[in-house]
Amino acid sequence: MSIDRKQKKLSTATFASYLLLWDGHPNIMGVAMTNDEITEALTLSSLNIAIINSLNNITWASQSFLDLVNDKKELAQATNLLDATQTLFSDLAQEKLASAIASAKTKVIPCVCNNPSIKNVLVYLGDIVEEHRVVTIIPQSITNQIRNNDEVDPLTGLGNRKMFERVLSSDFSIDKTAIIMIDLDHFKRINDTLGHVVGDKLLKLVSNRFVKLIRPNDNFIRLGGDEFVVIINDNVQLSRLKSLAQRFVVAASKTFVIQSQQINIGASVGIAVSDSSYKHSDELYRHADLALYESKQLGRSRLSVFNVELEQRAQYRRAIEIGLRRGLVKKEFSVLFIPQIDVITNDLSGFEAVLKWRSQELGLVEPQKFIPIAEDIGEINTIGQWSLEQAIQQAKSWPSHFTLSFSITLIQILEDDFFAFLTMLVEKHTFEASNLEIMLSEQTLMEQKAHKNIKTLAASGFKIALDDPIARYESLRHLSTLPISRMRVHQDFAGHDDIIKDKTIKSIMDIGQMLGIPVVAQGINNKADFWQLKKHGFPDLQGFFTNTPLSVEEANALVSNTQK
Amino acid sequence: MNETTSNTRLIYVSANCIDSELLDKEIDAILSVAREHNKKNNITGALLFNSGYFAQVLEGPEEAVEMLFERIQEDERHEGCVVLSCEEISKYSFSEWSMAYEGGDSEAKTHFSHLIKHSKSTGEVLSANEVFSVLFEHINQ
Repeated sequence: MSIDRKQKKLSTATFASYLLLWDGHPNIMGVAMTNDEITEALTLSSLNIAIINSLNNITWASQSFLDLVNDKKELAQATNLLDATQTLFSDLAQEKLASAIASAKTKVIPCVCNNPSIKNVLVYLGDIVEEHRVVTIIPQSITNQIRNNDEVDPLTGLGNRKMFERVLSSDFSIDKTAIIMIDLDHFKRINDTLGHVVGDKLLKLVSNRFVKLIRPNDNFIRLGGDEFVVIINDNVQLSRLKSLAQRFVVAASKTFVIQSQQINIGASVGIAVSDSSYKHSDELYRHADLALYESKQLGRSRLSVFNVELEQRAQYRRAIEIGLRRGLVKKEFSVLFIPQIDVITNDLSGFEAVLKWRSQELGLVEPQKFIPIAEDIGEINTIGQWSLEQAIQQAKSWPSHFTLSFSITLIQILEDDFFAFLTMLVEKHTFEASNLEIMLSEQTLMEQKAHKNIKTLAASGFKIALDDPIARYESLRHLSTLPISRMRVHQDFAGHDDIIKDKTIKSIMDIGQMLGIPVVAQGINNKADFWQLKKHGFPDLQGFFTNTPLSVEEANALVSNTQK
Repeated sequence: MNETTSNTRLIYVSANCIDSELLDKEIDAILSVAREHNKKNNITGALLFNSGYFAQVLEGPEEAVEMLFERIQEDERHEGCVVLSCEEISKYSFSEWSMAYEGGDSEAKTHFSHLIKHSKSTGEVLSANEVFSVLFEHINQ
């Protein structure tokens, strides 16, 4: 395209000045970009932007601009702006535009379009810089509420964070304002697997779908990334807000097609409606965000409305977060020891060290409540390291055959310097590594990334224990209470090591025997192998499934063969 | 902007939402809008209808097909749109047609009804290849 080639002739300085005009900074969306990247971003943007020279001829235009004024036909080289907009604008609008162009100053002109799907637009004419100026056509249906050009999100044409801040601070009204927050589900995955070009395209398509659901007077804004917000300022009933939110969810859930690829995502939505209890708009925004978080917690692709309980939960969590950060300094933590008894000798054989937190503000807080939060806010390592040292300090004076058990979370074990820390600790306190038993959850065990560190610990003499096995396997928990008639054990259950495999199968057989549930094997190729397995240690094995699936014919043949 | 854009073939099925007494009129309207739009945008394709379901094949420049599919999904005359396939193609299969139509009492419609019935009874997703060949064979014969 001729315009395309022309744009490359623009100097960096010239282009940067356009961008200075554009949003006040030589960057887009806060990211510093090279000249080519800026050009590409502007080209891909759904904004209708063109650059004109001193003769008012177009020297560069975004694809959206070309589509708008020229119905997909190419612009002839250096078309005059007024010629390009001839068919788009009404005669009156053309006159207004002509007189605005004559002025060298920034102008924003409302124009009426002949195109029935757009109707009203604002035409923005920038200052003249190096004999060029920016022209942007902003459809009013999207941007009724956009006051300035620097309130436009270049990718989607929606309002940006600047507009969000302006609207929330100036138009907020306790009896009229509602906020709807929308977040795309697993958007990051799209960006990571299909790339940013597809990701950006998806954001544009989603925005287009959303925009069609709102009214021109609603403030529709992309805050950044895949986060959208609608600010509604005219006292809309909650039932209508919910139905709008539901339509966002449905719109996002429909299939997208980008670069011949089918893409499916979803959207989670949170709603908050103001009332006389609100003192500040920020509170309403935070509440909408809490409702959005609730939607995500409940499994995404849904809407939630803010309620007091969400606030209470968030406040409690916040109090725990703050408390955790101060707890160590305030000496609120202590380490307790649970005795371990050897059933054969009936003697004390060691202790499990457990962490106790008595917060000044919250009272006694259960580890199940504060440990996950400590993990989230990155305090787990500090608190964990402190308590480990406390425990070891105590335990070193105990008999040398005592075991000190200590629970370590997945996050701790994944920490790069955890092993180094532990080694340092046992050396510092001259404590035998083999006397320390590291208790891991099943979740940790199932995390492939943790395996290397677990093996390193074991190789250095530390003992590894599994806490609460089969806790995660709901099915096993329910084995004794539900009418299960048979269990199938997989041959590939425990890798290729025969001894380990045998042991694993044996333990499942034991569970089956205790509960009176027959066990069959999977993945055995013939009867001979099965009998071998049965003879060698698994006399209770009741039958097997082979590895090879059969066709209908083969299956039928097998049936008739057996019946002979 | 000026590179030769690649061409896409998109096949989808969806459930009809049009009342039976309005059916003929609406289908005519769909076809006339589709044909005009498609001609302008170098899109070809075929629509199959059996009173309960639509199946459509769209072929054209990637971007144009994407935009058209966005519009189609907004249309309230159908729902439950399922994309059966979407792939780059080197040549058009319905090049003579801005939007061919198989409905009424056509053989294609009967064939399509069988496919739908099979898909419903087995729970298997309708095969894109089968839908495509029903349309291709009946329209290009």
